Amino acid sequence: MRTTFILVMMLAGAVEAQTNDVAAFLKRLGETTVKAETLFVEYAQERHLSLFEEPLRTEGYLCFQKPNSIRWEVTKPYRSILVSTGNTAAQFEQTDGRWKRLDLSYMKSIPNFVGGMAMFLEGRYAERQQDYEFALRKDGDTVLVLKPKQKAAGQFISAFELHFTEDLTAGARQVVMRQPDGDWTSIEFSHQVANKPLPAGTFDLQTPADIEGIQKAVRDAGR
Amino acid sequence: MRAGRLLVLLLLAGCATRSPLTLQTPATADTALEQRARQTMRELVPRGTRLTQRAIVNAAGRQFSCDGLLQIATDGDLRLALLAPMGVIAELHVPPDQAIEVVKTAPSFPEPWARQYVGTTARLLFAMDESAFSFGRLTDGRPVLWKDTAEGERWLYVFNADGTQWQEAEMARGGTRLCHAVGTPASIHVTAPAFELDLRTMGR
Repeated sequence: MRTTFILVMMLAGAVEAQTNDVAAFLKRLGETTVKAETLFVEYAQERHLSLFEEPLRTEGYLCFQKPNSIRWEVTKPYRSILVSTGNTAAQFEQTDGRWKRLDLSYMKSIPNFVGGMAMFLEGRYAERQQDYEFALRKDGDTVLVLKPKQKAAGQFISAFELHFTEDLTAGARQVVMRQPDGDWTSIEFSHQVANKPLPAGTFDLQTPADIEGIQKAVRDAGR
Repeated sequence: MRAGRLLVLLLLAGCATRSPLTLQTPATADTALEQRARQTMRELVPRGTRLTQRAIVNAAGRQFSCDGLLQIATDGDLRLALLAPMGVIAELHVPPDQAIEVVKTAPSFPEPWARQYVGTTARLLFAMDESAFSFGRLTDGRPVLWKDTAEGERWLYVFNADGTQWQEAEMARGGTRLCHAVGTPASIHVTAPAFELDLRTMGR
């Protein structure tokens, strides 16, 4: 009985320590992550599916400008651009070298996506404590694990795992989204450039500027 | 969801067209042409291939974009995943000459749709076995490989005059077109009563 009591107390202590660790980490993250007015970052996404041995890999760029402009561009293995400026969004697909604007059916969900992205890019995870359970794991990187509290959300995503290096200024270097059925998606970020002006047309909903021009402008501004 | 199914049924009923592809009877035999057509069909989707695809779907007046991952084993076993930006739309297993198995679907994409629209289209475009088809010609003279299925469908693959290029594929029942595809192996446009699909294949 006494042993059980000690174990329970140890466990409670561990839980409290972990809670304190999470709170301290979130505070440090919110303070340290660069307060970016703009971001330009490369990404590589891999989708791992139980039916396939090898993942589906896509690569591209993410552009962000405060308060809510986002451009998610796939450059390999195909070309596609999703641009959103708050409540409006547009998607473009390149076929035979020509861009075509799509009349998308899922535009209603875009503001939620953009809101989540903005939170992620600015390290404002603490705002979502009513929606997610937070935990920390040391796995080479420091991994912040977010599990949806709502059953409805948990049907689609069982956990987000955000990988951080010791240097928190650039935010998460990798995001892993785990699905309840075991499938998972990894997005790795690299070559992040913060607070460099993005050219006019980066978030244009009719004729978005070419990514090559945006990349050149951002790199030139960084010299 | 019931309204959505009703809409699809209405589309199916309202947009089905008669097939303009008519077989010559009897077909003029041409062994060399037949062999070239069969070779072209085998090379369309070689066994032991993994394809990455991008699809733009038009259905009920709306557009959807999705990624496709397709794997064809050496025995013709086909696995297909359709992926939206935020998750899986459908994953299917299409074994040769057996029922299509829907492994999973998104809650908003009913299993019968996955089986009927995705699975059947995938089987028409990627799981063909030329040895099961007969050689023939259309009334316009183009060579064709065709078969009638136990379900009462006629499947047709149409080639250019010398049999070296695939041009069209069709699935029809009672002369009514259920699915029609044109293009090149890298870029295919599919028309069916309930949807249109532009499919690009990037990697092999």
